[in-house]
Amino acid sequence: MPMLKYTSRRIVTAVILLWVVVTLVFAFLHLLPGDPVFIILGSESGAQAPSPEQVTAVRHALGLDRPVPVQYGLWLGRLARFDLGTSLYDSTSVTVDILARLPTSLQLIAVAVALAVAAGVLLGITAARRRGTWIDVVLSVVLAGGLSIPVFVIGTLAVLVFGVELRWVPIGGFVPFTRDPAAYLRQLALPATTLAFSLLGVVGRITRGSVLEVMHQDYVRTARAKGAGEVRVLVRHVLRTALIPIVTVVGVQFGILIGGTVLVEYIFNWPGISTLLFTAIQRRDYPTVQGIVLVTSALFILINLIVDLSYAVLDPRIRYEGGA
Amino acid sequence: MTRARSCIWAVAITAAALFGTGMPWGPTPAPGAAPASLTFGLSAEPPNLDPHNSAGAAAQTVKMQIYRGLFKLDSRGRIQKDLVASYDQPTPTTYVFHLRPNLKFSDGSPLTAADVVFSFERIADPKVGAYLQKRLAGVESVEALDPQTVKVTLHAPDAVFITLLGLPQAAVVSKTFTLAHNDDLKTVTMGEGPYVLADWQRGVQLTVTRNPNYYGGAVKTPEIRFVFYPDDNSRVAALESGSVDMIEYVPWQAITQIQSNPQFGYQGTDGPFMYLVFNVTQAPFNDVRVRHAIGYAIDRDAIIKTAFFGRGGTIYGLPIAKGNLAYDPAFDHYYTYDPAKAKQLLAEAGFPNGFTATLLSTAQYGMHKDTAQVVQQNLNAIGEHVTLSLPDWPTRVATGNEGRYQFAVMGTVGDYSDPDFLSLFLHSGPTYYAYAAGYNNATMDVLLEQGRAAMDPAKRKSLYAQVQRTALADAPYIFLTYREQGYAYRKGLEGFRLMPGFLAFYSAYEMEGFTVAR
Repeated sequence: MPMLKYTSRRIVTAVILLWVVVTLVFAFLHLLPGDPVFIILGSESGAQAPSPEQVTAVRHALGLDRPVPVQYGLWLGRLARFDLGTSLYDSTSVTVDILARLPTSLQLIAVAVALAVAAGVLLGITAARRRGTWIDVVLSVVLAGGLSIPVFVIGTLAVLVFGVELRWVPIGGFVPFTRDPAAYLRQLALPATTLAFSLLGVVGRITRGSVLEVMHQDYVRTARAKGAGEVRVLVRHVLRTALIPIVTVVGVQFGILIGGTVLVEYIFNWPGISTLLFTAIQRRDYPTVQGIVLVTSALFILINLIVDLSYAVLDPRIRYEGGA
Repeated sequence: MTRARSCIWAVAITAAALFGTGMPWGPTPAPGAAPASLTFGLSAEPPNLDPHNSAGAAAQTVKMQIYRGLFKLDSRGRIQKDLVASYDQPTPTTYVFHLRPNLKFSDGSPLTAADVVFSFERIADPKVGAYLQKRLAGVESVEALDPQTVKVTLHAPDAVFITLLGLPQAAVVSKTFTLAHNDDLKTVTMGEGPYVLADWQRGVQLTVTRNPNYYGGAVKTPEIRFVFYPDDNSRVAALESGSVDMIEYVPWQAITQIQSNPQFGYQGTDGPFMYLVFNVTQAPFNDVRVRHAIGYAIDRDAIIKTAFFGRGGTIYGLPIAKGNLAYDPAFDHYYTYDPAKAKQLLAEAGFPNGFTATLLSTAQYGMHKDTAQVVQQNLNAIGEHVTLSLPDWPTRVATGNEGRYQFAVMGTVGDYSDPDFLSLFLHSGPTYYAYAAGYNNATMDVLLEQGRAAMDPAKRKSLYAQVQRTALADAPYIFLTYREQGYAYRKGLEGFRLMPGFLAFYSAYEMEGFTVAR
């Protein structure tokens, strides 16, 4: 079973890769200047300095006075028991925090990617088929806009137009899908579309390029000559091949977005993992940062694996050898 | 099953898993909740809810609804009795507090002197990290004379002791509850205030509901939803779109537009202040003439215009405003904006061709960064060579705590309006990023300690006059500007009254009195 062998080798590599990533993050975090103890003792608020006894006591209570290698060893030990530790700020379990916030980010990313792929592929194909015409020009400008306008500009404008002026959507507040699907979808609409618009540019341009390349291949001409309808030609022949680079890009984008949606989550108050990571870094909440990096890296590696495996599905010529 | 159909099944199952998961948060009122509740837009999510810790003004606003203390601040910023019914002071260092009868925590358990004693002990315990640990270190002993009476003995007379007990960080906590929860009050609460914690959706909002056992009786607004809006623009948009009834921390650039909108009300005051802090052990700022020169060289109006969109006030002396016991108009204009004079002072100090220095600030907060940029411009315009160092906030704090800076920008607020707040900045002590590194004046220390121990207002005024004179002459700091602190709300919100000056941050103390007409 060459596919199974391939997959198991990839998983072993993934585990090693994860260990390297989290070790690097642990090291960098502890090398960074900035002491969580002083932030915990209220550096943001009021001018009263903590007393030296407080600093020592709190540092000890949080286990931060032990030598860094010892802290690393303890953390690895907990990791082996699937325990990601507790936040320095509110003693809540990091695992619980991540499980609460990760799905909301994934929901946002999934919907945004779905929208971006649907719109991007459609626009890309249209632009490719009408290459050189004014339609192509207009579409390329739109795609370029998605690529170049910063997401926080789009987001803030969207809040202003759809939230304040038109009042089509509420600003802030959040209701889980299982509790009130209609309200949830209304809240999701704006952040997902904002994110989708940014992704649209990449997907659309890759599609356009890829379709253009494939469109003029011999087998496409053959299909047309045999009398196949335009749609059938597009879907069964052109897209199947053109999809490979598109899938690669989408996979990479999806992976990057996990933990990378800070701006959208911040502007729209979407309670996701990115804002949790951002706050944790700002406060030097070491266990939370380490936990989130571990989980998002694992997801990223998993997505890449799925993307690689999907090539075999899309292109029968690709098969993974056990020894490769 | 064909490949396409199995693909569709895979997608369907993934979608169900994706959208059906996520922590099952508690009962949530849908947006547009019951008409009687108040929705408040907070500028940050409270990191935790331990009342003895200080975790920012936003967290404070929430805690003030759940917890109360022996005293409190009223809507005019005056100290009032809260859990205390009356008190005596048999000697200058002894206080006997008589609690109100029948006080209860929100679960119905009685609030007694034992809880008050426990709260003092908890504040004194270093590993709790209580904000007032150092300030209440003068408490020698606390004992419960009977379930309704607490006797506190101090080492020395303390003019601000009662004021300190009125701060939200001096809340009374339940001994049984706290011990049962391993002394960890970060995410669980047991208070005696007008509201109880009902629900906390991380990253989204926090809801409090009426406390049936509150001694002050039924409060007008049955529920308050605190929604977190860290982004300034979203917070203002939330108010303007009607998603919230009230917001705090109105961004300065939005104040004018809100004030001119008849649908909204705004109340703001100058409270917190920006200042320059010097490391007085290192050149060039170990020379007091150089520090004085800086006082003349900075264009405070430019700072207010740039960093605060015109919403603030200049400080040409110390941040002691009218209404403060120690206020004396004679100290208001110690400096003027006079670059020529600054240059002259610097030449006398041995820097005719300008000094070279790095100004420490942070890129993380716009107001700090903007202030630093104006200061740099002003100084470089008269021939100095100032470069900026703008790391993130935790790095800036760490650098300051280690004293590895020459001069730096800071911003803060006094915890109370008593002139004793100056002792934080002027009394000698360990290096801290908010205080001038290396500043150590024994005469000043004595004056500050005497000022705190004196009970006679006239005597205190004269002591603090000397403090101010010395502080201005020594110039370990140059104070720059006040910045405006404001709340905005939709018309129809009754019962809100902004507290003056430094106390603006406690204005939400009386939220139980707010009502919103709909």
